[in-house]
Amino acid sequence: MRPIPFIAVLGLAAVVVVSPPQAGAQQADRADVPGDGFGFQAALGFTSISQDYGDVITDGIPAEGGVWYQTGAFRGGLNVLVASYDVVDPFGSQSISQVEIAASALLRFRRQHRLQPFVGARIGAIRFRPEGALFDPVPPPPDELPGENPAKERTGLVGGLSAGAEFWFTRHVGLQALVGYRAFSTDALDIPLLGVTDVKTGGAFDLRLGVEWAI
Amino acid sequence: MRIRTAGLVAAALLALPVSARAQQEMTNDTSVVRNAWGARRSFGLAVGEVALVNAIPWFFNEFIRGGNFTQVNPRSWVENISNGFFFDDNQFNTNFFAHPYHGSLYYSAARSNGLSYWQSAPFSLAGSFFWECCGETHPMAWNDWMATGIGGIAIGETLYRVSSTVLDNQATGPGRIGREVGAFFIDPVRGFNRVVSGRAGRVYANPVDPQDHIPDHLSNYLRAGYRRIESSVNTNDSKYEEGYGAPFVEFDMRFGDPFEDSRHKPFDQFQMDLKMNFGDATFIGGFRIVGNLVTKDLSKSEGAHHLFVVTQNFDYNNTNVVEFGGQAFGAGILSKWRLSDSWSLRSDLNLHGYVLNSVNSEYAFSAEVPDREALRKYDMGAGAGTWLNLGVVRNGLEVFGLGYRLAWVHTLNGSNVNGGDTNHLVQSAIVRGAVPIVGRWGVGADAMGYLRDSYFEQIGFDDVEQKVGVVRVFGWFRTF
Repeated sequence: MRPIPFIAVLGLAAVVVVSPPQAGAQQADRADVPGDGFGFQAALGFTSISQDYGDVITDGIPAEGGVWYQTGAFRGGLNVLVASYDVVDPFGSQSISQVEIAASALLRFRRQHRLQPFVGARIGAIRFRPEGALFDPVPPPPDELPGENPAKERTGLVGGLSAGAEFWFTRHVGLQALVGYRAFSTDALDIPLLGVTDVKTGGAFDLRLGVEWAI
Repeated sequence: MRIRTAGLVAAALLALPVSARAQQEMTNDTSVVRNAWGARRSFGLAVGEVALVNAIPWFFNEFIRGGNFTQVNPRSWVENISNGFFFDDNQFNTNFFAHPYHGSLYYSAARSNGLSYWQSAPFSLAGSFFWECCGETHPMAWNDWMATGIGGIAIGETLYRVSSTVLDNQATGPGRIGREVGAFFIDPVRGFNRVVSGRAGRVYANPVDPQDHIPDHLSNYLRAGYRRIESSVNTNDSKYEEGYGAPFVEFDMRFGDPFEDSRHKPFDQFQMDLKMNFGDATFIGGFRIVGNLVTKDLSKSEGAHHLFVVTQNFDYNNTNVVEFGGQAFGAGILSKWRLSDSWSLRSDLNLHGYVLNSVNSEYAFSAEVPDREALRKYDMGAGAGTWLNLGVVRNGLEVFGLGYRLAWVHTLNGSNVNGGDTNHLVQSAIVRGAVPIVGRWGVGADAMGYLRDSYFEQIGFDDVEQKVGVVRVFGWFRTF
């Protein structure tokens, strides 16, 4: 999938922002939309990678889980995103996994309606871990223990923006759809077999669909 | 550093709404459902804490240990679920003690958030399943799911009840702190919930029904002494013998009395026996739980009382010569014959089916497991069992007892290679006696004979007979 420019996400965010918000920050009082409180989310989707990492990995499938607390239009949360990517051909059988832990903030609009647009931002830590023979050190480390991963992980920072909408079926259960863009930078990754070195930066365009549970 | 930061953020996110909830509880809001200890029933917090119980070992293995099995992602989930269940090659104490203990944390996440036994049980099974499918990249292990999910229910409810006997909402000062800390160590998830909800520091009413707190009939025995073990393993053409002796400490709890108590909710009556062995395979050498799920009167007269019970049974025995464990559900008859005002005769007959059980086996190294990292020394399977216990009781103390037990382990993974069936018959008989000396103190002794007959169909695997004798002498102290 071709990456959509970052500006497209900003444009969507702008559309969402200019949609008429509910006046004030009063708690939702409809019986079928959530008010202030605690909730969970889980989502699946697709990710397209660009920049340095775009030359190495492709076909990202992310899953995200999170816990959040919302008050008024604001929602703060802690999110864990895991994903796997195939290495580009001819090493498509190899893969790289990703873990991201991020603090997220989200601003919701039209909170008295079932369909609630939102814009969000996140910042956190990201980690890529190569898997498969392509990345295993040769010879294996002499002190490697059973159950340990010989491939060295690459860690870094990630930040991103997103926009989307939630549809609440009841006060407790809803769906969420979002598009987002994350930029990240990690320790350098070298894959001599692919002829790539010093892979550090990446941009991730995300499309995710998930469920929400407001307690 | 990232892990600590993430932990702090998670703690803050969890504590924020919970503290607000604690404030709400203090206003005597009658719209919320609370359990006997004042914990508000919350399925949401239960789900969140089960997720946290899975997240903590995942974080540890991924970020601290550098494990090779925590790089989970949607592709690994699909692969695991589509491949189905296997058996694994973990050590016996990991599979039959550590995993069930971990399952108890899932259970307690629900139980200590106001849910009942039946409402909490699915959380143990679901939390364990979620770890198996999606918390690690190892193939899903059937034995892990059963040991963690079902064993977690038995241990979780037991630890919840034990911690209840320690807690006192009316206590203040250092005594209160000691009780809360003690209960925290017995049932950490419950302790966590009491702290973040503010209930650990509040003075408020204790449960009205003693079965929810300290039952009217509670016997705790602490035994310490010396034991001698002799074992011989015989095949057609070989014999191997070994023996050793070492000290031991044992904690034996009888919670409730099914004949005397008026309430019979799950685990309102249970027995727990925890053995701590020195100089043996592991320090925790034995852990046995028999909890009554259903108790019904069969007949009751002046001289005799008979009950029908449905039980949940948990077994873990791990010594240098015997490994035996399992998760079972059973049904049985408890009888009590009154001999005089202070003397009675009691019997306990139980028939049970094992969802998962295990016993040491000479050929278990041949077990077929994916991604093998170790050679197992025990077979895993399913089966059935029975026991019959007779006891002469004086003023609540069993002064003389006899017991017989039989268990059948039909091997599902282990020595049953190439389609050859393997079956183990495990029998044990015990005679025991206890003599009070002064006050709550006394002495006692018991002798147990253990016999394992293992039948292997696989060509080249000789049938095995193992005989074990255990003699123990000890002093005991009755804490309740």
